[in-house]
Amino acid sequence: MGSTVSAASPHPTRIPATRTEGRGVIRLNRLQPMFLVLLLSGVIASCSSPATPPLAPLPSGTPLPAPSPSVSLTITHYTPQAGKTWVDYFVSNFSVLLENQQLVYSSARDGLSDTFKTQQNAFYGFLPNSPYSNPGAFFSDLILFQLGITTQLQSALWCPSGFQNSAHDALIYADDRNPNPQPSVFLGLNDCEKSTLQLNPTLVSFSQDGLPDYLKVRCGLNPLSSSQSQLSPAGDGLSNYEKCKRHLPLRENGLSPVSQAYAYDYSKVINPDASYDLQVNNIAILNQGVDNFLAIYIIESDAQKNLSLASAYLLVNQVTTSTALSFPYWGKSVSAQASPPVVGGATSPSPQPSLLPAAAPLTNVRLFP
Amino acid sequence: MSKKLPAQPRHQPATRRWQFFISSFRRRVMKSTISSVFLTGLLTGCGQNTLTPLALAPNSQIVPSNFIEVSANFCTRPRQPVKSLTKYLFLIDQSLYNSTPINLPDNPVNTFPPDFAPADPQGFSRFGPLVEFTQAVQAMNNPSAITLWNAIGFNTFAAPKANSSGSDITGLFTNVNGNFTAACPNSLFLTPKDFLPCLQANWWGRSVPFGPVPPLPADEGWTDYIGALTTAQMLITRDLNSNTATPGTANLKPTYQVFFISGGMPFTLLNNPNTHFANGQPLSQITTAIQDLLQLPSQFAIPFQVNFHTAYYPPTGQVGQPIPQVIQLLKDMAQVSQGLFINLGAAQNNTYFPLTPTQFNLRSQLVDIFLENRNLVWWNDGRLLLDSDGDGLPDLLETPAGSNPNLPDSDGNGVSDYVEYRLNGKPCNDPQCAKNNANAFGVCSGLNPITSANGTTYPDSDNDGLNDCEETLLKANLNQFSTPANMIPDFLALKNWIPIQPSSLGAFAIPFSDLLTPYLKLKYDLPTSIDTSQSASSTTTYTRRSSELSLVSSPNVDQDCYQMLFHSVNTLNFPATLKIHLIENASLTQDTPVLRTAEKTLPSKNAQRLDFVPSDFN
Repeated sequence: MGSTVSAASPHPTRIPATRTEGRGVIRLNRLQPMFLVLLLSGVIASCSSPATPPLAPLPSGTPLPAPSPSVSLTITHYTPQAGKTWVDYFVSNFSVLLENQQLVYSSARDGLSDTFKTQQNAFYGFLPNSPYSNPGAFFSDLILFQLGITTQLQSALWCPSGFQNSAHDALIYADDRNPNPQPSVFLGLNDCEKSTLQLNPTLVSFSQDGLPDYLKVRCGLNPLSSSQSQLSPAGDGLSNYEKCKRHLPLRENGLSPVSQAYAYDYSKVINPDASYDLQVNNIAILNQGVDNFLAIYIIESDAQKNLSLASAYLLVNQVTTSTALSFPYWGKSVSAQASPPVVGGATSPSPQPSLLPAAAPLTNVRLFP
Repeated sequence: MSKKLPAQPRHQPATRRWQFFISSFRRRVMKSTISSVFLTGLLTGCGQNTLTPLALAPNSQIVPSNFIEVSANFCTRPRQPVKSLTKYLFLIDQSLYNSTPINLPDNPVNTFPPDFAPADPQGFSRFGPLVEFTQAVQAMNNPSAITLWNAIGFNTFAAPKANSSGSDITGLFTNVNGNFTAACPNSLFLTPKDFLPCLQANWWGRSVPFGPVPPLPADEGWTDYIGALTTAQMLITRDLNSNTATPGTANLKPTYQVFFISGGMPFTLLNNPNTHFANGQPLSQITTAIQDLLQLPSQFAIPFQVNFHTAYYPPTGQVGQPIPQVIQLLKDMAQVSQGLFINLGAAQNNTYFPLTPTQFNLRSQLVDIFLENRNLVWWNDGRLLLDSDGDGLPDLLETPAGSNPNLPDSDGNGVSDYVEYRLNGKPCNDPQCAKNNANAFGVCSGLNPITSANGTTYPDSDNDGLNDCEETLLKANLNQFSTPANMIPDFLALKNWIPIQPSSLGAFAIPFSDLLTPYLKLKYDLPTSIDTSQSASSTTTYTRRSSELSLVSSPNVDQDCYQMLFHSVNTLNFPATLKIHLIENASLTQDTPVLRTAEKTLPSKNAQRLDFVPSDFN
């Protein structure tokens, strides 16, 4: 292991000595942590491949304890494809949502909580266990809700290309919670959905800012907007990009105790062989440690600034205490990126078993790309 | 103008602090005047380097700050329907194969195949579902899903007419001489209301359910697939070139839904079953014609979309059997365009339901919130200055420049003092801002000026605080509140020295070692033109406004409601008007942000809090 690459070397901040009394003193003291936030957020907003500093400490109040259990995930020995450069990486536990300052479980892993889907069943026909409750419509529940397409209108949706995925950015897998798992559960935006949303089906990130369109839709960003990911609507200095990446709600205070406790932390280690170990810490796990679906995206750019993506998913089972998980990078070749392998004790068939990692730290997880 | 410092003892520390503030300003401004002027030019990019450096302010110009709390409660807008424009074009098989054999010179009865059975002698298969669908869409009565309709009958007679006619296209609604029938005055795309009588009046072969039997042409000739596709292409081309937009459809991207309805193989020669295919039109040629149709959008600058679908209807009665080759051919044609294939023989009611225009009711999402004190300005030298009239030009500068600090447009020419200052380095053409010597700005004469005794005003089409004339002069967009699409309303950006040129990324650049973008400084109420970390090195610093956004309970699942708390809101002036800019956007499919605003004035000089409620927002 090499040295840690820090996100940003803190610029010297000179806070003036406070000579005044009373109100002014309080104000200036309170300002110091604020300035750290300013510095960090400035870095975030500036970078085309944003750095990921930890959230600044709270100016006041007591942070909640870290979620328990949580996992940390390390993708070891990552190197970009030849001719490409690393842009960013994202990990998200699709089974867990942070809503109204609470962690809630999402059986369908589709960005909508079980409670919400059950409530909306009468209007949209949503089922808590499927991202596409109306399989004939080829439009996910998340999209149907945002577009306001209620049950009786769903049959008028027209999608000849089905689950075609020209950008190869979706996660397609067999859900072994079903009695007869079919390798067809689709988490992403299919070509029909992208066309309907006026996006380009061949692009990973329509506005080319590095944040995949599917993650944008899940986080509540309009993927057509060129500037929205850089904004900070809550005024906390954390950009939407940053909050989406760190699994925080965009439109709530990112400096609140809950946000501080549940934010993901990203860090990157450079190895002697110039490969990277990509790490994400503080990934909250729910559902008694069973059936937590971790989506992983690594974004690369070619010389023409075209973005591509290597994706994988990790099914976390039987994690009852906080655990560090680690596995080697799977996408050494383009074909492995496009249809990545199933890794580690899966019940579903493995398309490319030769890419199974030899090391066996994965006793309680299964990795599926 | 003199301002008395408050006499209350509790304000003493603040007063002392402001004295440090002032002295630091003096030193810093001396050091940085040149760079800030340069920077201003850089940031504004207006090509103007004539901004007048300010004289240093007398101490009395700066008043003690007064920080208050501001809260805003609001909900996002209800779901918004998406306007869509769908143009239906039905290509209907009109060959003689549909009707009872008639002895015609070019189609003698004895040339018909021995197993011939009329496919649709009364037109029910072809016209019935179409009438039903048109009625169903009309009954939806959805003002946001606009539909227009047209149809072409095709056979070997119709197609040559279409090709040879330089003036018009023979369609379903023309008689044998190519003239339009009374019910259908032209071959334009029609509203459902106008299309239905056309369709019914021209229902060939029908047994008089809708009135007298229509004039010829009835079904005649042979099935000419390529002729139909060519005619469709001509008709769509002419429709796009016609510039006769149906009212309410301007700026809508049309989707053409072309539906090809046939019961037989393409025949261009007749009767020997063994030569039908050889002499007909092979799939490869038909495919090319479909692809030409689908690729029409590449020939036009205006955006539109063409979808192509097929339907088959089997022969009626006991004799005829479905023809597998025709079904396969129509399926293959639908496959070329990834379109629908419908077998009308097997279809239930409302056959065309999948073609109903999809209705989207887009959820709104909160994009951003800005709080502005209308009566304070961070000038580009880093000073926070009073602006009584809220035009963006500080009182301090207005008086020496001859403009009225209580009048946003002192010379009454419709362009505010601040915009004139940014354009020309002075608020008025006249040193005393005399109205009769004001800049006329003739370039704005077409922008609906309203002239009264008080002067000229212009509308503000996008409600961003800059009127249409000012936006024209500043080369900003009249109809987008944020010209660079960074979501900052144009006036707010101009006031804070953030560039408003199209596609400028200035709001998100980091010019100083304080590592703050102008965008974040606007959110924090800090000066964008100054390195705030440098200021912090001396005896004073800037107080950052902070905020806390939280979700609150919403009346329904389609709207989000929020509470935003702003802490440390500077209101060093009184009276002070605070304005909140609320940006919302559709969550998906459209990037058309909407600006909502609310303004409130502090109720009293000692008010410590100002609350905005949902009804304050427009």
